[in-house]
Amino acid sequence: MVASGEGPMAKLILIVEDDLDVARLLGEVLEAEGYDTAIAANGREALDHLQKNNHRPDLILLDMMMPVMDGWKFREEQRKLPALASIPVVTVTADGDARGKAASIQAAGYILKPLSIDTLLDEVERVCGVPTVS
Amino acid sequence: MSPSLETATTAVPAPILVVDDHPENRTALRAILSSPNYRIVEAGSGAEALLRLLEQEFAVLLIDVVMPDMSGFDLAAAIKERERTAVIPIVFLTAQATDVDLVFKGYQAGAVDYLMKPLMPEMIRAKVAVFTQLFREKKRNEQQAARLLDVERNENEFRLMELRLASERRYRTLAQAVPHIVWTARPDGAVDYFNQRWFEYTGVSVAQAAGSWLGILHADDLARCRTDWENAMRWGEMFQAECRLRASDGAFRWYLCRAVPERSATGQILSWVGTFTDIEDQKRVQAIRAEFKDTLDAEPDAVIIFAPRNWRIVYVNQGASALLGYSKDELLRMAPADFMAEHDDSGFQKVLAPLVEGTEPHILLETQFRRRHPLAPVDVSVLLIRIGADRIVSIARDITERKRTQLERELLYREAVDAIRARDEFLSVASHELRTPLSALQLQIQALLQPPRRSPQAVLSPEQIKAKLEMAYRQTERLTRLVGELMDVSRITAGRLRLELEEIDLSAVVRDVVGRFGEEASRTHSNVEISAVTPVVGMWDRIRVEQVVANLFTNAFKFGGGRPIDIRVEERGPIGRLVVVDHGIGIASQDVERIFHRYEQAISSRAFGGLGLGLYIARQIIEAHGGTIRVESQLGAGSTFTIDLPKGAITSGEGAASTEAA
Repeated sequence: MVASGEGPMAKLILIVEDDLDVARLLGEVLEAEGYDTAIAANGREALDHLQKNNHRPDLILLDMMMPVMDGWKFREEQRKLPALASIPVVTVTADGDARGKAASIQAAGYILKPLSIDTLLDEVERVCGVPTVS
Repeated sequence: MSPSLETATTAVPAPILVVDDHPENRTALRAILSSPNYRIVEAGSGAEALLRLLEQEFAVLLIDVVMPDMSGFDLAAAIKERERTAVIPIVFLTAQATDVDLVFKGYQAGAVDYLMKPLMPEMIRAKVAVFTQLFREKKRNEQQAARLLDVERNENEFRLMELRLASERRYRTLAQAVPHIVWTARPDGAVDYFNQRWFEYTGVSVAQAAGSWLGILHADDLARCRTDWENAMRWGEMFQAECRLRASDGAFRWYLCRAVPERSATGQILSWVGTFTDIEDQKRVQAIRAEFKDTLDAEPDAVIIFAPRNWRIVYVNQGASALLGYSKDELLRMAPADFMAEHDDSGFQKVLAPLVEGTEPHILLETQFRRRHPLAPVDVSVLLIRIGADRIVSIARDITERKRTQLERELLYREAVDAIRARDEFLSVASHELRTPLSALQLQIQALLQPPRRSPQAVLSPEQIKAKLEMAYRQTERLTRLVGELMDVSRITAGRLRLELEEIDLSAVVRDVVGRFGEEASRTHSNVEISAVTPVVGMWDRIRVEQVVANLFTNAFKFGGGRPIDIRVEERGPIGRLVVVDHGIGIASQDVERIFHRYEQAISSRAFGGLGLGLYIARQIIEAHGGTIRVESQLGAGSTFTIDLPKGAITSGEGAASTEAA
């Protein structure tokens, strides 16, 4: 599912999250800021999405605990694909030691659940900059 | 007079006393009686005669009646008065026969005769010969009697001595041979003999013992034994006491100490014979019996005492009889190996070796006893204790119950551990699951309160606000559902699952629930094939059945891998059946049973979310309806859940019935 933002210059964020409500909400918040978003329900869907769409995301928001293919497995697969390996990943997790886990899969950043809009936007901006390509 | 008698007596001349105041008369008599058979002693007066009579014995007295100072009659009277001399024959020499007749009447006792003067030598010799012969016979008789007495006495003494020595020898030999301590003591209690066993046991020499055995008594027994022993000696009664005697190594053993007096024919105590008999073993058996008697006879413990040397069973209690199913008498004729299921004689001997060798004070053995047919063998724990050289006490306890409870405890423990692990897992999953909608809800409310950073002046349209509120509401619904599940579980656990039965159509319920999952179906790209057209009506709890159906659908979508899901409702006679088929990840066979338990998901990771309570609750609800839920599954190929619900008595128009179920 891909929602379009203001124009072709908006940065694209792929939200990988099995909870549909949370995924949608994250999408709405980010789109309200001017990002484009896409949603995948698990690691497998995310890989499919990346391989099918030419539009390469600028950031992947990755929930770690998901059915079918979890965040760790997805990250492993992603790094095997040269075209996709460089896309920065920000992990979304409720567990302790989120920083350690993020580091272990060489994520660009991490966000702790429960989510706060400010934290989310700060981390997204820090990793991929403002919503639109200037 | 027979010449033989004369001859026989020639050796000893008979002494004859002649009393006459006229020396010429005395000389005449001496001449008349001159013979080797006689020895003549003369006396010139009565006084002198009495003197001679004191000095020696005479065969006959010849007394002249007429004498100055003391007449012959006076002298005779004096002689007759003395006992010793009264029996000596007296021959008076007189001139007047009448005098003599008078005198005779006065002397009835003893022989008295007379010779008339003038004396005729033949008459004198004849009378003296008679009296002498009498004297000699009397004398010989006396001597023979004395000699006989002597011989007899000597022989007896000799024989007695022989007997005494033989008995003493026998006695000593016996004393050395017996395994008891034997001693003898003088009437005053001073010991004059100890047998070998005494030295072997005590190591105390005769000198060290100093005539008493009291020195080796245990201090606690000494006063009592000393008093008893002294009393026994005082009254000449048997002494008997049980006391501890010190062995050469300093250890004490119990002995039965006895001493009996040996008496002479007149009842005089000649000596004491003492025996000390080792009763340590009996004492220990007694002590153990006494100790065990009350407790063990009352308890079902089997007490068996046996001799390891020959396997003879010497004691069994009631408990042994009860445990093994044999009577006490039967057991006393058996050997341990007859009922030891896991040991033969040699095997049991090996087990007992440390006891017999004394390296272990006791042995605890868990084994099995064979019992009288047809009783089954019984598991026992046996405590083996050695008492004495050749006695082992075995105390066996039936541990069937203990083993069973132990197994039960272990099972309970494992179940408890599993339950705790599952609960911890559940709490972790539950907190995650509860936090997810809470997290979404929080995010939703923040988004409503907080305008976008890029357009702080932006105002949300009523439609946008409504959409966000609806989403927030869905999160609260999700939370409510989760909390509901938890409450269901707690209700089921407490046995308070209450069914509100009414007539409902299973097909309609399924269609309704599937409709609510439309969005889920579209998100997971699952095609749902539903076959629920014909009404299947039963007496069920609508809310609970909906809950079960929803749980199954949730699982099917969750684990269905996005592939088609088939749902069928069928009527099978008195049964309403619901079948839900997915083609997803499936369940490993070892997990199939587990998934219906609390907090369990076949997939150990929390990747699929959910409390893991769905199938557990579903099964509880179905079983409360008297139905069944089962699953057939193949890992990687999908799962088929089948629910069979008995339609129950349709009581049209009678309204809702309710039933309690655990």
